[in-house]
Amino acid sequence: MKVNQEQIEDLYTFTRKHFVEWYDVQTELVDHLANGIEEQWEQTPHLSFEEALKIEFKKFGVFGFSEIVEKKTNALEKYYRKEAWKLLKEYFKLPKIIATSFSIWMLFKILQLFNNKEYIVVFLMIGVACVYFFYILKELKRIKKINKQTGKKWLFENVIAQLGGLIHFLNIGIYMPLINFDRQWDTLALLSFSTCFVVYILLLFVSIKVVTPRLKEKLSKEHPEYKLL
Amino acid sequence: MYKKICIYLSMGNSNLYKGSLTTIILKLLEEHDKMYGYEITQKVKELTQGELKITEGALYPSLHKLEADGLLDVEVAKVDNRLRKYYKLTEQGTKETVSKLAELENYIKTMQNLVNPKLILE
Repeated sequence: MKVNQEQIEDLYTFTRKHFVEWYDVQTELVDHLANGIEEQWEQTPHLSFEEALKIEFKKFGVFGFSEIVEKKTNALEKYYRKEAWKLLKEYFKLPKIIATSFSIWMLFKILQLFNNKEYIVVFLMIGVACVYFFYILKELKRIKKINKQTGKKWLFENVIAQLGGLIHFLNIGIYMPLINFDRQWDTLALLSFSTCFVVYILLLFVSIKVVTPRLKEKLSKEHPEYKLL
Repeated sequence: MYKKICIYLSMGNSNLYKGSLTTIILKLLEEHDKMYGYEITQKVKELTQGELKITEGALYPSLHKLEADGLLDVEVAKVDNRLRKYYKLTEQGTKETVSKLAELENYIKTMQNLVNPKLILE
């Protein structure tokens, strides 16, 4: 006996009730549960769908699906960060290091031209904060739209919107208190700021413009349904 | 080699195979073009005559970690009336399987030497 379409829908509801809100995770669990139920029916054909499901779910242990969701989220975030880190390192190798060094030097020279350097620093930081918040808002809006249209939430999308956890590290607001308006901007301070700022921009750039599209492409290849969104 | 791993692992104590789960998954995927989660649990049960049971709570996190590490590729296909997620080895995964198996074989040899040194003399 095979699990029918209506029962498949029940399995999706079951996973949702057990705190799996992500469609990409639900799909794998639904197939697993359905396989397990069909296997039980082969041995005990009179077993009801609900009873078989109860037995199958017990196999996931006391934590149910929660550990799977948590570890899958961690694995995806790690993947995102690893990709971003790998790409960032490229900017410190030849030939890209030339452009990186030039950018740092340019910023250093521009800052040297101004007397009230802290105002330029704040202006630059607000500028990138705008890019950062614009990206987050755009992604959240897109996720909401997809959810409204299809009723599905994707874990992949959530990880992308949070830049694989880099969202906290790239929140420029946390660095604002480091700006001291009374400080002396000596060469070392200027060079440190220029380097940190360029590294920040590069990390934000590779995350938004390279890793995120790559992950979306990967998800499209894996899930034909996602491609249609 | 696989039989050797299974004999070693089918000792009824799940703690003994915990560290080898990744190797078991990689080895199975090396032998089969692609597999899905449930199929892996059943295959292991079959190969070890039910001595070794991979729990769902351990299998999926391992599969997802291997996927995130770039060792596995994923493909989703519609089978019957539902979607099925298949895993297959990437090029990097194939290389890693060879090294993981060598590592495990070495470990088995060391354990054998410790547990039964007489076997070496014979």
